[in-house]
Amino acid sequence: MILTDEQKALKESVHRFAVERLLPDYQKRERAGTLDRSLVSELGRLGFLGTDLPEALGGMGTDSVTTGLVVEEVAYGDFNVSTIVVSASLNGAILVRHARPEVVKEWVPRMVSGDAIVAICLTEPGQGSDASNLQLRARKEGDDYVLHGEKTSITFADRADAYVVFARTGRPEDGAKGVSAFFVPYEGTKGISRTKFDDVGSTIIGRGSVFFDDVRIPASYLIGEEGKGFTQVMQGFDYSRALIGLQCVGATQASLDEAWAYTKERQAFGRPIAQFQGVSLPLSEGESMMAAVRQLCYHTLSLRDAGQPHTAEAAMCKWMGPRHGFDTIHQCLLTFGHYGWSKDLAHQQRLRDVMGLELGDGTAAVMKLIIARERVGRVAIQY
Amino acid sequence: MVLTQEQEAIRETAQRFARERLRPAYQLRDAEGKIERSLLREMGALGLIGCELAEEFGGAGADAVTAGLVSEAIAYGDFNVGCFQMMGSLLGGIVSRHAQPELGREWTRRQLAGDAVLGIAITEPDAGTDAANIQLKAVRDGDEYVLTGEKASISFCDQADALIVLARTGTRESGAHGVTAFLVTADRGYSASRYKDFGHKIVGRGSVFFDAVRVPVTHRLGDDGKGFTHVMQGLEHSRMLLSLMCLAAAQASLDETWTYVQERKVMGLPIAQYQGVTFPLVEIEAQVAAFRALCHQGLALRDAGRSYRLESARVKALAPAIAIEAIQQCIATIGHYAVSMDMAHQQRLRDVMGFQFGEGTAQAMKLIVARERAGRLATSNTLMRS
Repeated sequence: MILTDEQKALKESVHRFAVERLLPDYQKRERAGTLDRSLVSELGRLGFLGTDLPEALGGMGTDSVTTGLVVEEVAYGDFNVSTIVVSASLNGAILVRHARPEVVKEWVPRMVSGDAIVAICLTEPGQGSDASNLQLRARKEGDDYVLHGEKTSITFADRADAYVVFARTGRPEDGAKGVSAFFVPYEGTKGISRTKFDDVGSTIIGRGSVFFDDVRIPASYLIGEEGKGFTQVMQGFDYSRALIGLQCVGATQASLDEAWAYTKERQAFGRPIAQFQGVSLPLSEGESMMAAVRQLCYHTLSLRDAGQPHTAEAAMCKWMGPRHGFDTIHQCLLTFGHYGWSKDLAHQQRLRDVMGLELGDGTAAVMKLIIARERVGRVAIQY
Repeated sequence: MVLTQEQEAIRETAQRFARERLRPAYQLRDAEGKIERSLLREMGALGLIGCELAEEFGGAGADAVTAGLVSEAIAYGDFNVGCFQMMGSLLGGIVSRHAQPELGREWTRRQLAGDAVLGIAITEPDAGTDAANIQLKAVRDGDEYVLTGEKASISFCDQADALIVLARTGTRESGAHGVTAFLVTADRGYSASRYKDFGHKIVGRGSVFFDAVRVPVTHRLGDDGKGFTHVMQGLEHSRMLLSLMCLAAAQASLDETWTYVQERKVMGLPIAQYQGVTFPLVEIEAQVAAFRALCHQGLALRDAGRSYRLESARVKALAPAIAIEAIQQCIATIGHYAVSMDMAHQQRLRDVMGFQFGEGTAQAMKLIVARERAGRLATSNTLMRS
């Protein structure tokens, strides 16, 4: 992918911001475990949120490759902050495509400005990978829907300003066809309670449970058509899967750059350790692998921009990014010797953060299932 | 990379040729150890050799990405025919850039038409990865150079119509700066002996002996002392093409294996339903896809006039190994049937393996990546000083 001058300029300015504003406090933010909302607003002010959304809604109307570049560079400075960038574009695209105009007009500009964070509520205690079996009920009452049930493992659970909630409007035996999607604002809505988990990483974005106790919302908050929410909205996940790959690429590149710099400074047996191939060649391998994953992500996004199918490619990005990112960051940590074991260095933090996406947003196993289905067809898959 | 209509069109031509003319006799050609020149001419007539060269050199003035797509398509059908095809890009490129205009046009036109086979002679018994140490001597004698010495591990050694030969014109200490390139036609009287290799049999690798072979000054490629640089620039390009070839061979095996898992039943179910079968295929295919994208990126950088040294080294460092792993996984999936010589997987494995070393070992490629990242000062070997 040869970047345009505009893309290069934006990428460079995001990189500068990541190095100057994000990287220095990456670990400090994580230890605090709170999300600094002024930082999110700053991202919005700088135009780094929802670049791909229409200008009329506050975005820049760019292609999705450009959004990928922003995600990658923000993740270079702080992996967890980049999740906010992914969330703005993913949820923004879902709302723009499927929500009622009044919801879009009110909420998308708030997401783009960094004023609002929207969480996706899919997983339940009894349903993860087999999400189409979800049980949270939505029943129609007059002009309202009433939601009742529990969602779990939700990113931004205790700090989101609104939720995209998948709920069953049909019968349990209807599977995915009985599932609809709803937009649920937190402020001013009665019956929502939420908790936060004690996770090994990504604590600033918070993962937790959200409980809906007869939560009443107007019917206009239905996203897409009743009974079609699952399939309509899930298509948007092809997009976030490529962006997730780039989050991992960005974070891993930061570890690689730090490791290469260290190999030039650190001496052993009277010479810089970069001269020992046992040190440099494993880094070269990680560097090459991540370069390939990066290009696969760009390729996937450019297929999306061209309106071509990219489901298999997106699933590849989603499991390769975290998997090879983890391996490569691990190799970087080892390059520093015992220094790398210290919490003062960022590698351990990146390992913990990247690991979360080996599971979140669709496990690696599910991604492989999707790819296999794309290759041999549904008939041959047992689910 | 989203392809243009022109790129799609030439790729389809190449794919059809590969499907109809190459794939059916891939193993037969290997068993016989030879290729019909008429097949090369056919490929040349379709414009599939060196399509990125300018029209005056017999090419179509296509971009480098297109050349990559063609190499992939050809290698998908017959990896070894791909070796001949790819040389149009590598050697045609070097000759078109550095030979005297008339000589360059004559040879690239013949090569791109499939009329002539060109080889390149860099490696010597004692100079492989540290190619800057080559010793074969070229001594100026009036309007000629006299070449004396031995080359080893040379592809097309006994069937090439001409070889690009790197020879030492400077002192031993001058390293890469004392090396000059020549176009030596087969009628000049060198001798070759072919090795008994387990792959690339139609290519034929071997040693070439120069016993006071006289070459006219007009056959020098570029300036005296610049041969190493000229050739290495060409290799940066071809490393991406041959990485694509390796990935294409792997893709051919993967495609055949995906078909097999839908047909083959175990315990009443197609084995595609067993995740123990499909996931390993998915995992390695994703790596193949990622490295294909990185190859295309390197070629696109070349088209944009930017440096692609890093991309070229990155893909050559890992793509052949990934391709080998993919083909092995296909064999493991198909089970004992795949051990049969009747199936192409073993053949692809043998062929792809050659490029873990050929045109730069994986280790040398990783060293280039390290040099690009950690800088020249931080590395300490001959390759790095070049």
